[in-house]
Amino acid sequence: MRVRDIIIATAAAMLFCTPLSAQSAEKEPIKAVIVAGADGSHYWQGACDVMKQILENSGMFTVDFAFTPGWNGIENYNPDFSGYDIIIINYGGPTFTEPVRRKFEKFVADGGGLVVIHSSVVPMADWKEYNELIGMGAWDGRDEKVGPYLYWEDGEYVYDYTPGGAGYHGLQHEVTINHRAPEHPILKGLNPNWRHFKDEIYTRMRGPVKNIEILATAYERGRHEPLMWTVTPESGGRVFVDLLGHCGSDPNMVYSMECTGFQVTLLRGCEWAATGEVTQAVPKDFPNEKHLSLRPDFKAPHHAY
Amino acid sequence: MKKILFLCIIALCGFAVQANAQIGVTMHTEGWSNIPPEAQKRGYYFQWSELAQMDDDPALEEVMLFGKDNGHYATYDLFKYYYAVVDNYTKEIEYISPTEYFSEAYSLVLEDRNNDGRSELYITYIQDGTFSTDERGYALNGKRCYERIEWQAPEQTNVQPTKRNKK
Repeated sequence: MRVRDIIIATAAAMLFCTPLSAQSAEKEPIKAVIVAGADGSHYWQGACDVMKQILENSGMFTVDFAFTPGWNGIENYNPDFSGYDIIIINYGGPTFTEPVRRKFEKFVADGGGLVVIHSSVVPMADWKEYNELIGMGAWDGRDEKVGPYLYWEDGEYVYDYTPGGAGYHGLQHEVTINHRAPEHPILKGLNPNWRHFKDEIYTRMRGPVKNIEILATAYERGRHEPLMWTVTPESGGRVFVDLLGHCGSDPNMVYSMECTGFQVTLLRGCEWAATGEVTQAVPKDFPNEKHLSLRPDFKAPHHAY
Repeated sequence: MKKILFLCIIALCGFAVQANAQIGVTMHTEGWSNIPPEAQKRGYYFQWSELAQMDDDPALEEVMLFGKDNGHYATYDLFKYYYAVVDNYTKEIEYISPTEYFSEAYSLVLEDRNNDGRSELYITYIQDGTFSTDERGYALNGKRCYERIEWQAPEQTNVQPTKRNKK
């Protein structure tokens, strides 16, 4: 009798101690590398530290950094992407050199995952293949030449070829996120409408918009603007773009990443980009349309799973 | 006869020149603005304005708010700002804040609380821009101050009368 009780108790303990899902504990961790190193108006160092915590606290990922030298010396930047499952780019600096650009493109074409965070849609507008990988971008000279604006209206994609620059944001604020592809593995099972904590909401994105699927939008300045989308390049690989996650440098703050919604979609987006599927359970603390939810310690609370 | 004709031609030319001078226009390649250049401090941006009766002159004043972002935190933002009171007719600056204010929100409160027929500008701010927060940037704490800007007689300070008032 005692032995049976011990077995049951042990099994129960194993069940409840599993971080995100039963599968995650059995799998090899997903190896991620964060590319960053320069950004004129963001606290990129803090954002990278936070994302590393979010990913590693889940028990599903290991995270390394591959930082550029900064604003000067990009010609000396030569990261090694081999051995990683995903690149997470959180970067706003000078365009990579051609060998690095080719290496980056090859990584994705060979089936690697790419996760693009917030202001990483801004730099390197002169890199055609990067524009195609991210689907849409902003500022940095982007205009109608890179492609149309894309937004959501009445269940359809609107491709707006109006001439003009790309990118706009106003004062940061809380926002309601609306899922537009609720059956996509990244979003499946999550509340389709949820409050996101204060963030800088980018709008008026435009770009090649090839092989793009809008995952989520927010209503800003009269349009349902895409804030999360995927790109599945014809050459291979998977790209998840998340415009959320502003970490400002005035002063250095990371509060937008405290949002449970941001953290959960980042975790799921990274898993999907790396593997093409999402094995994570739906957390009980995911926000809904009325209520925000924060994970200030960048890990799931004990009652989440 | 030739002399008369010559004089007539000269007279017509003179009239034409005069007429042209009367309808001449001055080209401003940069256009014009309601904002007097002297009201614009470097690094601050016009936010919005309201018309109000701020002095004894029948012409209204335009009270302009200029500001800029001064820090973003999880549950509030901070701004720096100042005010300019401009005669809406002459565009003369009647008053401009001698210092900048610091607070979580822009405000432009114009009310005639003492019922003297003139509005006063009410300002709430954090003293000297000095504040503290907790380690995550929450819990803003600073000394709140309140100020009232109102029209006073020419020999006094605050909103200065226009030249027309001085007559």
